[in-house]
Amino acid sequence: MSNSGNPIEVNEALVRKVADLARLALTDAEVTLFSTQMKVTLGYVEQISKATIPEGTEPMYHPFDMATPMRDDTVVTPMTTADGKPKMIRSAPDTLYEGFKVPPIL
Amino acid sequence: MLNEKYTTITAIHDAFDRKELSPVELTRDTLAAAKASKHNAYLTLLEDRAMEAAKRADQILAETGKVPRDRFPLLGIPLAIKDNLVIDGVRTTCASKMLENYIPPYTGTAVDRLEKAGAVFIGKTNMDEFAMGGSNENSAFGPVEHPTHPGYVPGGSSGGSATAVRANLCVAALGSDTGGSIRQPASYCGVVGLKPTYGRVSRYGLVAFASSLDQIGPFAKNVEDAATVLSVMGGHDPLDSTSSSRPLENFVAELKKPLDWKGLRVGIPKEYFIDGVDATVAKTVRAAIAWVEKQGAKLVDISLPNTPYAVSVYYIVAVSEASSNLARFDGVRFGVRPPDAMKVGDIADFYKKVRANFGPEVKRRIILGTFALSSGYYDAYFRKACQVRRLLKNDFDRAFKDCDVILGPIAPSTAFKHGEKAADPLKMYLNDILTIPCNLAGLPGMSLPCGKNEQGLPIGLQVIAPQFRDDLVLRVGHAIEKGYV
Repeated sequence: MSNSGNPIEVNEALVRKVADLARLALTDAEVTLFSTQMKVTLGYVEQISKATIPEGTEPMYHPFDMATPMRDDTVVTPMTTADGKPKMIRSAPDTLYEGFKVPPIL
Repeated sequence: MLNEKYTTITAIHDAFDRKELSPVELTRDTLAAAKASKHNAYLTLLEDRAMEAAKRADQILAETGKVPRDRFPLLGIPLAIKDNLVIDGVRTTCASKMLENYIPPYTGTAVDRLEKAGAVFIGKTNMDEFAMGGSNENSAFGPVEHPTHPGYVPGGSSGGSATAVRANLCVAALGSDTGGSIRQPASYCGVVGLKPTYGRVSRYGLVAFASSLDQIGPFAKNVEDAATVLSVMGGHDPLDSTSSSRPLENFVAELKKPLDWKGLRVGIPKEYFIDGVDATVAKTVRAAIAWVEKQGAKLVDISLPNTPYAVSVYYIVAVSEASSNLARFDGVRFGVRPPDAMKVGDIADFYKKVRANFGPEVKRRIILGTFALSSGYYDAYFRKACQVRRLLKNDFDRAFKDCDVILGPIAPSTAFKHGEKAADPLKMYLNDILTIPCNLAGLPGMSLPCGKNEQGLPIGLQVIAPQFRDDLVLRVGHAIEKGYV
């Protein structure tokens, strides 16, 4: 169901919309299969709406109620290969001038 | 073959001390066995690296005479590493086409600590793609075969590691456990598998699936070996802000302390013996529990009333975190970039071409997670799931006032046949109901072999303790292993 409590209809249009948000291209066969499976899975997980949640129950996003630990703001040496090139881009799909090569957007 | 004769860390180190075995000999035989194996447990074998490490171990032994166990607790021990843990310069695929050629630029903390302790890495093990699955059928590089029962799954997602340990293709292995991915395959394959407390082992270098649930842990032939591996790789790491700064116990030394059975209160959750649990599994686990009672432990009936919601909570929380974590596979920093990807009308097209490299289960979970986090549905799904997650944690907090440890089954059934559940994702998800609660609450849990069914398929006993009582999980497991198994 939605935030407002209205039931949702899981159909191929919803799967296409969500796949688009997730930047996934699905085949027509995948859309059909996933919408059937998503209907079954969401039908099951919606049982959480039956759980008795006492007023004021804080959502638990993490196993510990820990604050983000802070560290000193110190400059560290980046990882480099033997020839002094940055290691982080070594396995990038494509590089240019020791940087990540990005697709054209204009 | 030496790898079949010497199967535990203690036995191997004793054999090294007596000069009846050398690290190079053991590594050579283990590599040969791994190469000849038809299980598809390994995705990458590290032959050169392993032989180099073995030679270094030989040299250390030549200098010291006997294994310097304090400095090198894993000297010359052949280990396997799940392929979602990075090693500098070693291909790390997560069993996905997306990372087919990914060579990471650094080594993760847990793996690094093992290597510094003298371990020899035989290879990287097969898994469900991005650790998503419970049967190892979701690997882009083919399923893993069960180590003793051809035609059956080894469990997942760390099925390659479990199989490698059981089939003597290594002595111990690392896996990761987000919803049962160490304990369930350990149970299916008949080996020990430990998911430590969340934060006990640094996740630096573990490719993230669901960051609030993921934890690295060992597979081993026995509890002592699991304790050795955890003692080496656990403890605080400044590179993982969620790793705990609590001092790390020497778990191996803890095992030497006798267990006071008469002072032990053992909780038996009624929700872990529901109708869906196979009768033989329930009977076998109950027989182990009866033995524990006979030793003098006090059995306490407990209730974890929100257990029926665990699968629902998990398949909202885990997939939501996954949809966010897997956004990094964008074809710019990571991932395979198809040749035509740069010829696109807009950036969305580019991403879609790149992300076609994900397999079906990964796509399914990204879609579900993106939906649960999307505007209009966030409160009804993600927020509510996180509230119920707290109720599940509260259940454990309440139960641990009446008991010290909890015992029960790992999975509702033993290993199943390939293809049996593959077409029905929900059926596969429901299989995780008894392992998921530990991850949601951040608790340590272990699978210990406790018997077999009529076909000889192994059955696992689950031992659960409060957060940071990994010592208790190991001590109770060790005592049961010594006296009962």
